[in-house]
Amino acid sequence: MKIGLCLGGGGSRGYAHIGAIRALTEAGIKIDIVNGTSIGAIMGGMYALYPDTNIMTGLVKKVVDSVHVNHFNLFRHSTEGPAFLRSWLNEAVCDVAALSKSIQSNRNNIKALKILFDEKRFEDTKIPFSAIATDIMAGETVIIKRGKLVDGVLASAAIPAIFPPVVRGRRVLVDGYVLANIPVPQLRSQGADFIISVGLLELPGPDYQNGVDLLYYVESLKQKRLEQWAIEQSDFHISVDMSQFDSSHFENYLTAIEKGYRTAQQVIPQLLEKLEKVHV
Amino acid sequence: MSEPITLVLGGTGIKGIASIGVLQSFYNHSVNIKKIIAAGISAPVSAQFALGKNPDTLTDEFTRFFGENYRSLWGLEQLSGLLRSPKRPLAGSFSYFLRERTYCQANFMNAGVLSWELIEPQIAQFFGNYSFSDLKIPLAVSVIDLKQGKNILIQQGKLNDCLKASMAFPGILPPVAVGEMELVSSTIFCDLPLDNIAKDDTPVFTIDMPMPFVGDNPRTLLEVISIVDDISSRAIKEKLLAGTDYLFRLEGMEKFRWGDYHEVPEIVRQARIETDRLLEKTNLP
Repeated sequence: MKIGLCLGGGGSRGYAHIGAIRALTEAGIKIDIVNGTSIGAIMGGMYALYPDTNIMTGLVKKVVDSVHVNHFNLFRHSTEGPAFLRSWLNEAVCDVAALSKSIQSNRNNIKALKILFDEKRFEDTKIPFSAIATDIMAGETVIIKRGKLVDGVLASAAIPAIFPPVVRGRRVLVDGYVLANIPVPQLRSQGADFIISVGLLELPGPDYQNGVDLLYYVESLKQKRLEQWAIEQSDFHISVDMSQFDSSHFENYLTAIEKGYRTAQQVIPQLLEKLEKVHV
Repeated sequence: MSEPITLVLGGTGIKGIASIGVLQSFYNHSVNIKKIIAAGISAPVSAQFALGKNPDTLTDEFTRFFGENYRSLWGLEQLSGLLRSPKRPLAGSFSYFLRERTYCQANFMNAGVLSWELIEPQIAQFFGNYSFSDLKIPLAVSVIDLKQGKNILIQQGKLNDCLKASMAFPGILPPVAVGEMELVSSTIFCDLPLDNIAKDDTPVFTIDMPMPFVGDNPRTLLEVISIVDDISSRAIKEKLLAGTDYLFRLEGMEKFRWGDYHEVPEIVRQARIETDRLLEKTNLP
């Protein structure tokens, strides 16, 4: 029986995946196939390539020390700060929204992903791995399992409006969270018999200051609903409460890893019991 | 007369007005409606129908309202065609830029681009002091309560504020406070209110007014956001439609945009013809 590990998106909260993987490894649970969306794809790709959480943590440190990967969502942050700055940001955001596809470029993301994956390909991973993205031309989820890891994972983490879509052949790809933030059905379709999923997404508060906040909030309600349906198809779900972590700031990785580890450790006995029942 | 059915009506933006044609057709075919679940503009239309208003008069009243307020709605009508213009000349690009920029700016300054002052007098004229209990056919209005972060159905109390809330499309009109709740339209989540259907509601008859999917290589950030929003809403709708017993998909509605405010009579006519045709082909329970 094939055990699959499915890692959900959630920005920098995704460091918690390293902790969860550490707890699974310590419990002797062998993962046969892994997939992920967005940060889940970044962590999943690393794990599939180097199945050792010490190496993963070392690579994360290297990225945090050498690349500025924090992303600044002007749509959210333009309501903060002094009045003159807010007004300047509002104008700038409106210009960007009407002229450009995204607020930031993919430059720093590519730099960071090259540190993690170098020139390695999906075919080089020790555990079969796939990254999940959304094709906005076809309106469907895409499973990426071939080619350079940097290219596939970049598409999976291209948050719409923050980063530009990634063009891959005839496809125009953005972050997989749009349809599959926790890509359980996709992992099932790749032959996983027992799926362990890890989720991190937190619903933002309903506090709003303008129409943009409202649109963002309703969009997150939709993501939450789609995620809930995916979790129902998982055999064992680990939900890491990352509500205290800002998903756009990437320095706090040690605390997030620890949080993921502690959460997974607590539920390992139930997981082992369930695995025993299905005779793995 | 058929077995009593629950009718589910929705539609994005002005397309909800097609419900007038649908209700006309159901009425003419003597379909026994035991309850209506409605979202968006379908909600005030259904409330008027449930109060006993003649659908023809209703079309005239909505046509007049949108005609009188077309100056305020023109910008939205143009914006609703965003993704349908594959090539733009330079002048078109400039006006496109201005439209998108204005929409974005208005949504930073306010909770929506329109104010309730535009619509409130019409709502007051339509529904005055009526309550849900005054309706001849029970109606449930689907909205999102921002405080609870979920879709809910409102089936009691005064009609005015609930019907306002059903039309409070985020990005266009501000939320509506009703008691402890803060409400917006649920059509932005899913254009059909299928989320809270109960066992008592069966058989459920759903009318879908589809929008064409415009998968395109987006040129601006707003285009990226609208395509992504459309993709996730479609996924939710597809999943929720599994719970419906009868589905009428009014394909003819695809050609209309969510902001085709001056097309009200044609939208209603088209919906009625199509519903007539589908009803004639269907063996009702």
